[in-house]
Amino acid sequence: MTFTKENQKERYRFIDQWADYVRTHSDQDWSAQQNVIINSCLRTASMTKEQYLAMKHIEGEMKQGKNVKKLTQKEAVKYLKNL
Amino acid sequence: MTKTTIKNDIVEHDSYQREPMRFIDATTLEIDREPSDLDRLALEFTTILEKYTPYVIVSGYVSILLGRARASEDIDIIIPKIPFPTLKKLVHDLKEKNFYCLNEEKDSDIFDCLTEGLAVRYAKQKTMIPNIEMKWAKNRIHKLALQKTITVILPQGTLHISNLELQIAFKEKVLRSPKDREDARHIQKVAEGHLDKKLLQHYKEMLRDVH
Repeated sequence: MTFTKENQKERYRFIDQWADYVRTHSDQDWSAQQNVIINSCLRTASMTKEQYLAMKHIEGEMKQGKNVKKLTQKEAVKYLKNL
Repeated sequence: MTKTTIKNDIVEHDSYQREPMRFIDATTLEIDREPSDLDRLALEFTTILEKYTPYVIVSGYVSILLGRARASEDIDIIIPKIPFPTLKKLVHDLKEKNFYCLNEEKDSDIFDCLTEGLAVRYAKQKTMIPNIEMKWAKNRIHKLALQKTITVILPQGTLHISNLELQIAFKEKVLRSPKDREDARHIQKVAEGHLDKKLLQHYKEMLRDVH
């Protein structure tokens, strides 16, 4: 089995385990744990409006299968900083 | 229903005395969840929105509301086409409640954007994340999502989400990214025993053709 397949299998295993936890524990219990992920992700994200809209634009183009020039991480950072 | 004890000045709620989410019927779900930053934004925005138009929440936030262990920076909302005067009132109301539009400023530009089939994004002033991505229903699937909604009762208010069968089918047959397949799997697992299997199959076949 390839690494990707093995990784996906492991992810599915966790999703099933967590869904089972959600079904069998109180909403307050699982949501308090889930909120650690949600709130910390949102509170640490930092971008300017232009950077955010550029990111969403690129994401949208890629979803539609349009040809978006693939940038290296360095180029992407430079591109976003220059907006 | 909840047993609360105090130990060393720490209030402890006995989790086992509380119930997990309740599927009351095919159109109503009750979740006694602790509100996240996303929930607060969704409730605040839709409280204003529903004064002007029906709406439906779709995509990633639906699975997050139902407990999926991941975050999202936006909440996707579909509304039917509304006339310009109604949109103008909505925009004004949102502005008064401290929301701003990320991609357009003028009422007419927001209207044009929606008319072109594009989405507009709203966030609270001085923030960008989390935000609401709102668009008009432009196809059969969007209209179907608006017709068949589920009311989710939260301690702080109610939200209208797309029916779960459509969400699962859409994520599995149209979006198909690993993240979307995982969302679909989560919804399917937590709602096990409450899903209409025939309807789910029907949507899957319908969306296979669309795709």
